[in-house]
Amino acid sequence: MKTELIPKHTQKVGDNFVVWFESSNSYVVISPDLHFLLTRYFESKDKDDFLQELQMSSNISTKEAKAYYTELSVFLEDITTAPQAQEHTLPFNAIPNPNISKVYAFGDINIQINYASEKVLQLIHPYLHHALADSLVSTNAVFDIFNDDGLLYLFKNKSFIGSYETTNFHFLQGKFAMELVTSIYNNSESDWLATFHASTVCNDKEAIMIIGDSGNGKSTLSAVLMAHGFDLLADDFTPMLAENQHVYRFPAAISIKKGAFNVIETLFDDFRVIEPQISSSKHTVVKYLPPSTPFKSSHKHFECHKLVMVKYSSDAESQLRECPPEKFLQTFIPDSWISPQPNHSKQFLNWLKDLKFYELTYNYNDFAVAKFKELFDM
Amino acid sequence: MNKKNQENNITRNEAIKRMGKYAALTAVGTFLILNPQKAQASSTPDPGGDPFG
Repeated sequence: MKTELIPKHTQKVGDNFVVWFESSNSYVVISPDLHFLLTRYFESKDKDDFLQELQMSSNISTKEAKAYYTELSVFLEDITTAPQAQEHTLPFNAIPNPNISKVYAFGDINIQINYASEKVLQLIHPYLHHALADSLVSTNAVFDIFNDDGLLYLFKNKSFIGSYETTNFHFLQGKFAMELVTSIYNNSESDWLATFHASTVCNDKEAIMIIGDSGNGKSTLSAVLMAHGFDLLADDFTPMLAENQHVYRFPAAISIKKGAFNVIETLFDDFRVIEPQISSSKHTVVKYLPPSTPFKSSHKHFECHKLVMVKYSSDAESQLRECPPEKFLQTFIPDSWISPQPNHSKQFLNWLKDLKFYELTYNYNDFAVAKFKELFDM
Repeated sequence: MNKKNQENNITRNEAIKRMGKYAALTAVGTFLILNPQKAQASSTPDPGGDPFG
């Protein structure tokens, strides 16, 4: 069989296997029976050998075996076809003069961001507002962000980073967040294993990642946990370094939607005076709640072996239960950027195999807080 | 689910078609093809939003 179609990595995760294909950077979760079929497929000399082997070893009918063979062939052809790379054109010779310039401090690192307009500023500034610094300090990195003819442009230290359609501004925000992380931790993107679409809380020993579909109260819960003494390591964007597979602090404010203002006001005295803003992405009024832990004196990274999928439901029974991984991976992997480097993929799978997966359904915050305390004590 | 598929430029219909393509394999057991984002991103905006439009 064609050896170039063999997945680069295979890892048992829970009861299933996760295989990784390098050319498409695809993860495929397969049952043990499918793993058996895939293994036989690659071990067989040809189609007849595959059919004969299945009939002899597993008493599978010729008709079924033929269907497996055909579908495995199509699947492997599909999954090993590399997608076309997206080309970014750069019709600019010069970065325009900025209208607004801000400097932010993260510990000893100062970052300057030049915004072309108030609208561009609204994409980044609200969640970094708490880190504003004296504009006269020397800076470690300078970003320029501007838009022209339906595209948003991101430059770092006068070098082109990327361009994005204005409707895809969340990719500019994501890329900026990645570049900000590399500036803060003084490394490069190739050092990072992944950026997860997750919030992360920690104590002084470990971190727990929180995932959940939009509208399930992930950010509100992060704020509630923060009010109860948990350290919020990251909200909505959690970077993981390849070297140690630790999750790192991302010092952005939490975006709290209007519906949760009342709850958060009871927990943070100064929340009432925070200026409400229109969210660029959610078409609703939000307030940005700064992290409680000062970045400079904080511990910057922790190991993470627990993942919690949260679901707020006013009419469901509150419960925390351990779940099979595949349910989580369906949300976790497509929502995240995972480095396509083969060694990083191997590290990701290795991290995944020891991860514990929990589902938390709750209809009152005290229950969620109590359960997180239990999880940290486990 | 539909929203997630769209993020990866796969429509619901395409996803269903894909599953049909692998009907025999999916009948055997868990078979999930998961593609991470090709680039870092923040939360996906609600539909219909272009702050520059």
